[in-house]
Amino acid sequence: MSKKTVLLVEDRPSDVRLTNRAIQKAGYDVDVEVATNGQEALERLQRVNGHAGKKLPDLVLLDWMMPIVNGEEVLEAVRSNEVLRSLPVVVLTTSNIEADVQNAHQKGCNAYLVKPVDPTAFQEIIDALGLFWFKHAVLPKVT
Amino acid sequence: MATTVPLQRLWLRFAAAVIFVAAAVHATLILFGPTWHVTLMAGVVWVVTLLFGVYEFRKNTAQSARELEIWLKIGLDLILTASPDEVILQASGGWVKAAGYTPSDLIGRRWSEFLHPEDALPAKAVAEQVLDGTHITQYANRWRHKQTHPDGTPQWVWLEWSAIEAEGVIFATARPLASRLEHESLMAMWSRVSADLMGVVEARPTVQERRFEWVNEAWTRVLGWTTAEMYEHPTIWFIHPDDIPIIQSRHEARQRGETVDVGVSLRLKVKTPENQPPQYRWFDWKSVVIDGRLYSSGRDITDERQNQERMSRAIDDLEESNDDLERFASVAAHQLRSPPRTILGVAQALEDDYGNLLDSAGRLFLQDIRENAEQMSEIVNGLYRFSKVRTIEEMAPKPVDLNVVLNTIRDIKAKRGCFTEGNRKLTVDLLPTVLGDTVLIQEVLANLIDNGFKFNKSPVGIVHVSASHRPDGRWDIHVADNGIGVDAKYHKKLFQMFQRVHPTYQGTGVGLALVKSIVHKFGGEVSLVSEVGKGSTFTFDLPGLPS
Repeated sequence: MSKKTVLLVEDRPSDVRLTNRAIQKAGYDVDVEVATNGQEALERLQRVNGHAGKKLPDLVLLDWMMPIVNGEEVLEAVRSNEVLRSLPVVVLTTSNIEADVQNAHQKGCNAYLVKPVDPTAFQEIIDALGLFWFKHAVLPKVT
Repeated sequence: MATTVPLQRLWLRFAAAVIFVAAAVHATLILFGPTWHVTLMAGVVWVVTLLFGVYEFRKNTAQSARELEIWLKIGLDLILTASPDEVILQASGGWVKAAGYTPSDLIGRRWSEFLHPEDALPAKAVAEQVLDGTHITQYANRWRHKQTHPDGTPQWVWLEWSAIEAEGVIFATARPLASRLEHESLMAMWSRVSADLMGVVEARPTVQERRFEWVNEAWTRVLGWTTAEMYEHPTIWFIHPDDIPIIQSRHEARQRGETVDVGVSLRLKVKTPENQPPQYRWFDWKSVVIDGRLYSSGRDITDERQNQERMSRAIDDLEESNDDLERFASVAAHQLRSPPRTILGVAQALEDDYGNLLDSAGRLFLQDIRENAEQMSEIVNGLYRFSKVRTIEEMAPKPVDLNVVLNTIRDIKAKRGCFTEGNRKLTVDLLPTVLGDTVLIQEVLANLIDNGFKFNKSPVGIVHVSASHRPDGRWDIHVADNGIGVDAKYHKKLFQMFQRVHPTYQGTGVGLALVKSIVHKFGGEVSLVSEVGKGSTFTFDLPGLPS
């Protein structure tokens, strides 16, 4: 089984580092690719077509509030694309607004996770996330 | 001058009888007398007797006339005689008291001059009937009193008449209709002092033709028009052009026989200098048609309407600022919540990964960073929840068992080590089930309990929660502590956002504002009884279950 790849879509560099660190600390053998906004994420995902070397990530960790192209738009674009449609997308955000949770699910996210304030609690979430998606979950085959 | 002569006196009857007998005897003697001198003597006696009778008759007639004059002068009754061409021939002294006129004021003038314009024509018809020989009773009309009202408008006296004709003269007697008079003067008084506009128009076939028949003085006070100006113009001249169709449709409905008894709001023209644009005031009108007349009364509601407009503008503004608050909530939720979270995460990572590179002073700085980030995170969170409560739509209150809420709070606090770290005790009475929202009420109680422990220097910090039932069916919930207390002068400030009255204690300044906001949501109030150094008791009320 080849190494899993995670696309982390997150505009704040410090948050990128923290999430990245938490993933590494969780101990799962995954590559983390980073897109610092929605537009970059979509470009990365669409570049797969025609580039033999690139493959789709196994999981997208998507921030919801981002400049230029936000999480909602990324999710919409992914779900309306023939190739990308089956991509697992987990929303990882600080917003716990009911409307955002509702909206993200309607647009077709696979899960919605709120980043807690407490660093320990955050690590717990990342641990659980890795356990579920990289160990237990059976993901669709990506090309 | 023709008068009635009392022929009833006995002596006059007697004299007439004597004359009749004497005349009969003497006539016999004259015709069949034995001698001519007997006949002559009888004739002389006859003539003398006749002359004496005529003398007596005339003397008594004059006396009767004088007596009658006395009666007329002192009587309280209203008596008139009048010629067929309406000229008053005689009048009694009673007129002075009833209508202010001495007989000489009346005699020689036409009675129709004194009548109310509305009564003049009917009165002429009645006079015709009297001249045709009818005895008229139960007929009433209005006489102009000699005295006018202070403003110059005429006063009217209602009179009930009895009249007959004799020898081409109308004999009439009247009495004032006291009840009617009282009623009318009462009505006149009310209409004079009334703040509402009152008016009577004839309910003519078209709205355009209508003119006021009567208006009260409020028109002058409220709109500035003189009574004369009110009578001068048709009624629609005073009405705002946009409101005329309403009048028209109501009029048409009445013509169709429908009852139009609901009020209507209309604008009426205010008197302004001629070169200025017309100004209008709003009135609520009520109208009723009685005997072909439209009686209307209007209340000035301009100020009320303006207040309403101001109010609805204020509500719009408020809604707008609520929208701002909602936007702020969203900003607080998304933008402000991330930085302190990241700082905390970074500080934690620094401690975990590089902690061994720092000395104790360095680690203390790290601790400072974490504490401040935590506090900031709490403030933002509180602020966010506060604005969320403020912008929440009206919610249907659901039954909330406060015992369950308290257990939840106790569990959370126990998990966080609240009772093990310091020496703290949370005691709770048996609590009622109230109406509200579990999450929000938990927020209120958790905040008050937190405060009770936080602002507390007692060796054992105690917070006690109890409840009491109010006569109005609501429950007062009391959260009492043995903490440092709050001076009464800070009580009001305490519930305002970011007002911290204990600078030495850690607090966000959001908690009590949030508490107040939630309690208001369920129609309640928060109050505080406190003694510095002894403790505080916060009380808030929530609706109880319907019995």
